[in-house]
Amino acid sequence: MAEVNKVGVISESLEDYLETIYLLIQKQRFARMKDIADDRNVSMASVNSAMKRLAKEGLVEHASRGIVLLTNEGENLARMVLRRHEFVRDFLVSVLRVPEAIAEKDACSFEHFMSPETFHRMVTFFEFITTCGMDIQTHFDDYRKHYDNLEARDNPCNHMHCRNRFGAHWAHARRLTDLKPGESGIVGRIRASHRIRQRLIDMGVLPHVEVTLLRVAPLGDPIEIKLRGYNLSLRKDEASAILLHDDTPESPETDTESAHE
Amino acid sequence: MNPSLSPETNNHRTEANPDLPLESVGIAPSTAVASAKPAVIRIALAGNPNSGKSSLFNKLIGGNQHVGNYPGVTVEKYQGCIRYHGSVLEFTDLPGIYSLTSYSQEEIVARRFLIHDRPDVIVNVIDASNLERNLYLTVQLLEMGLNLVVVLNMMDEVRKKGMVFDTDMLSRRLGCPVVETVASHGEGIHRLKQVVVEACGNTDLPRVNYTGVLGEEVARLVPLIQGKTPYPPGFAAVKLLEDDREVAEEMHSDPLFARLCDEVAVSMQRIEKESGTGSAIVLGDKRYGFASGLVREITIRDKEETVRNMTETIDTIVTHRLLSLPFFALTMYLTFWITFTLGTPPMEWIDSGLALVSQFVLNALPDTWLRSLLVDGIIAGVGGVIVFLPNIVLLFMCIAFLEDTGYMARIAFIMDRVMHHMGLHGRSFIPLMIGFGCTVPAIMATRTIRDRRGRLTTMMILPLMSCGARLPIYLMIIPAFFPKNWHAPILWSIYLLGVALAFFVAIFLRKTLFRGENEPFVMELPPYRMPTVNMVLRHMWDRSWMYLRKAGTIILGFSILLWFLLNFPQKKTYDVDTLVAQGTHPDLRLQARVLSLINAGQPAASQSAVASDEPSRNLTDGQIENIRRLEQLNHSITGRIGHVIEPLVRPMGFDWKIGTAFLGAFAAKELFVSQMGIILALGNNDIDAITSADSTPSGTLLRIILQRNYPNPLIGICIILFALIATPCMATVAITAREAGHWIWGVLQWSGLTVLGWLVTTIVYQIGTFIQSL
Ligand SMILES: Nc1nc2c(ncn2[C@@H]2O[C@H](COP(=O)(O)OP(=O)(O)OP(=O)(O)O)[C@@H](O)[C@H]2O)c(=O)[nH]1
Ligand SMILES: [Mg+2]
Ligand SMILES: [Zn+2]
Ligand SMILES: [Zn+2]
Repeated sequence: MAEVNKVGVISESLEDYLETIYLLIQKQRFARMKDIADDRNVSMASVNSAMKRLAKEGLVEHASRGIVLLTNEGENLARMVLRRHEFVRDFLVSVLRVPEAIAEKDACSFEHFMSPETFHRMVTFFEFITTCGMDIQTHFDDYRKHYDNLEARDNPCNHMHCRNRFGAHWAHARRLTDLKPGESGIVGRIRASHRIRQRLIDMGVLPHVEVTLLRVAPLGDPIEIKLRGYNLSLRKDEASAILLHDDTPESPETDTESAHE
Repeated sequence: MNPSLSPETNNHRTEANPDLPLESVGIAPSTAVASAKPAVIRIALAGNPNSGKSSLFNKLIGGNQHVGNYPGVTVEKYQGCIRYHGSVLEFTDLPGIYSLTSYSQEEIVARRFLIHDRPDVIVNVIDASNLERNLYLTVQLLEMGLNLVVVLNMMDEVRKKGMVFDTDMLSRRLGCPVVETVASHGEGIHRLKQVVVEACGNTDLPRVNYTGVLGEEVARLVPLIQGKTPYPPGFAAVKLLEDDREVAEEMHSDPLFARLCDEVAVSMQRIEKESGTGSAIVLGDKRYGFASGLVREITIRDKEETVRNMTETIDTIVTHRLLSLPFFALTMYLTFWITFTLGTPPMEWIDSGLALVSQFVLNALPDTWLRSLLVDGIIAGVGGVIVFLPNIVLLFMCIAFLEDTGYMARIAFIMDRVMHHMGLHGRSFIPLMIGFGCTVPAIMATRTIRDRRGRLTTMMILPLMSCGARLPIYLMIIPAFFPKNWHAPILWSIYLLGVALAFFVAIFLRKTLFRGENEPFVMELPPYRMPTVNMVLRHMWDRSWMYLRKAGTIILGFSILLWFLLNFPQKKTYDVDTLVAQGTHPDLRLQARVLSLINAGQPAASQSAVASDEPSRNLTDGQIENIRRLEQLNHSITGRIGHVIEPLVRPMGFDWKIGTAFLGAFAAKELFVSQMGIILALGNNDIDAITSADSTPSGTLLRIILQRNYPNPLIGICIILFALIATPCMATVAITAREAGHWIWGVLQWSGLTVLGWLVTTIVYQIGTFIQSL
């Protein structure tokens, strides 16, 4: 467990960067700044400053033309982070029955904040319950079954996640896909990757624009909307990234909204 | 906090030009610069997809650019020149773009062209019936500091809606000349030429100034960028704030790049803090805010609410939840019906015309290798392709009609769900449909697919769409092996099988070779428009010409090559002649072969002839000639290759003859039939007859021979399967290689499909024989 201590020396986002670089190198044998920015969905500027800090820590080295290399120490650290990430994710999924996608996200934050001590206990506990006697096993199965059933109805963990990331107001906002054909709404936020967001902006999907859902394609997927006097079709994947204003905006978060009729 | 920064005020203010003050410089006095005109004026047409750039281009230079009521028709830049009052105007038609980001290939192409090629005048074509969104791009073009002439196109639609715009006001606000046009009728073209010439050399260009934090931050970044990028610094600064990877990448080698990055990050943070949203949204908001303010300002009379919206009405039926799919199926059915039913009579004319030509050559020339090359090689080979021209032309006419009305975009909309399952974009559907006509133009049509991996996948699976050239194979094989009431269902299932295979191959490719993020499906649905006859005919001609060119070049070349391979090395003395001369038949194998040929050639002859001892007695000159051909084939390079590859085709149930015929199919699928005919030692005239009609007795002849040679219908199925899946033709491979940008893709397509075809056919044959043996 001694190596684990190293984790936490650098800030969490830098650890994530290390992880990304490590995975990129595994995948394509090199990592360019541009790939890192794409992968983490952040700006080149942030990548650049992160790389500078990592280089100061002696964890990465710059090669030519924007290619980033891991030092030995950097690689060890990245591997540690990754191992933690994987363990935590497996633990959440197989023991606590947390849905895979959420577990993946949570693992990404736990891996940075958890003390080596807790990590160690988690490992032992995992070993314990998987090797212990019959009795506990059956109780434990009941517990898990309970959660498995809960999940089928509606997953409660989702909400916590929205709240953390996007603030309370948008946590339960309607999406474009929630509209019925013929209904209109006002765009509030766009919650999508860089690339898709820019594309939507270019097509005029911006906050405070009125959009009308015209129809859903017969096979159920792309939808057709009307905005700014023209018709646009989008897949539900992209459309669900468009959050709508509530009909009665009451949140204190944006007081300017009340000016809007 | 500056109020003009919060997004809502941008969209809801009504004062004139509130957010994005453009220095209104007006039109530069034309007389002042008229004397200094360069001899060649370079003009680029830029604008949103489907705004009528290509239509305008065609009217300007009398060109023949592809036009369609479907966003993203033009995918490569296209140039043309005219003389105008002593100077040469060189126009470039650019692909349609919505913005100037680096997220799509067209936008990068357009952006680079505008910066690196520095055209003298940029004609920004605007769909006036959709002003707001089109002006968004105009603002960006102004950001680039270009010499713009704005064209308000589609004014007919605007007038029909009862709208009136104040064009002068627009011109003053934007600081550049504005011309109204109707590209489809040529209205305003003359004036546009005049204005363009006047605008050339204009140095007093309007500039875009942003207000508020955005303006401050841009101003702060500009000195850091100055001189480090080919783009104007103001534009580059804005792009950096939008986190444009390409602009950043270009400056990467700069020693101060890291510092610039930090500064950009600081600016982004400041903007975000002030406005509450990201800088990209703030920028989008500013531009759209300006556009919508401008629209309100210049609209003298708005849309009359009473005008019925035809597009909405059509769409309620055509994309209706229940009706759309039947309607779509009906459209497809009609397309194929027109293609095949109306196409048959002209096909027969061409066929008899070709027969006349070859007869003429046969009579006119002495019996030399040259005559053989002309008749058996060139006329047979190229003719086999040209015969399908009527079908192809009609199919392309239907597709052009669907494209020009705007229904194609709806097809993409309706079918996207299915295509999404294959990991493809709705747009891939259209090339796949064209693939039923001919794979070559279909592969060219994949250019509208923006995402490269999706495009490559589509190209790879396209040969599985059973093209028109494979039809003669089916028409020959199916009646030869199956009773009449099976014909249609079998033909139908072949097409379906191709589609099903394409589906799985696409999924497989997207999971392995072309893994990666899907292109976001964000597609404009244009209003329906009535296509002009002229336009549809022109489209039809474009694509048919492509097909004809394939016949004229690749097929011609391969016909000659194949003829050579069939006729060389030449056999000097034929065994059959020796035998006939001797009057004896020591070679029992040859005897048997002669017998079977006689039998096959004369279906009426009794089976007992096989037992006859002295067949040579009965041989006619024609039959002896046929035997000579067979011997020659055996002796030729093709025959030798056929024997060499026999072990490879054995598992599929084929013998060397079928294998050899498939060698021909590589040049063009339809050559399989004539190869098969030659190999089964039948006169050429008979083969031609098969391709034309179902009922001619000569057509049945080859079928009877086939049946005699291969009594097992399983072989028929295997031939069809292999013809469907394997060995995409030469032209397909060549065009794939060209369009994909590397020959490796052509090789991959060919070998991948051939291996797949071999596997499927082998499995079917082996299982089939196993079941038959039970
Ligand atoms: N009513 C009307 N239709 C027009 C006019 N100009 C073009 N069209 C039609 O608009 C459609 C699009 O025209 P294109 O010339 O292909 O447009 P484009 O800008 O080249 O489009 P991309 O190549 O896709 O970027 C076609 O169906 C044209 O017939 C016009 O002035 N009035
Ligand atoms: Mg065009
Ligand atoms: Zn992580
Ligand atoms: Zn929630």
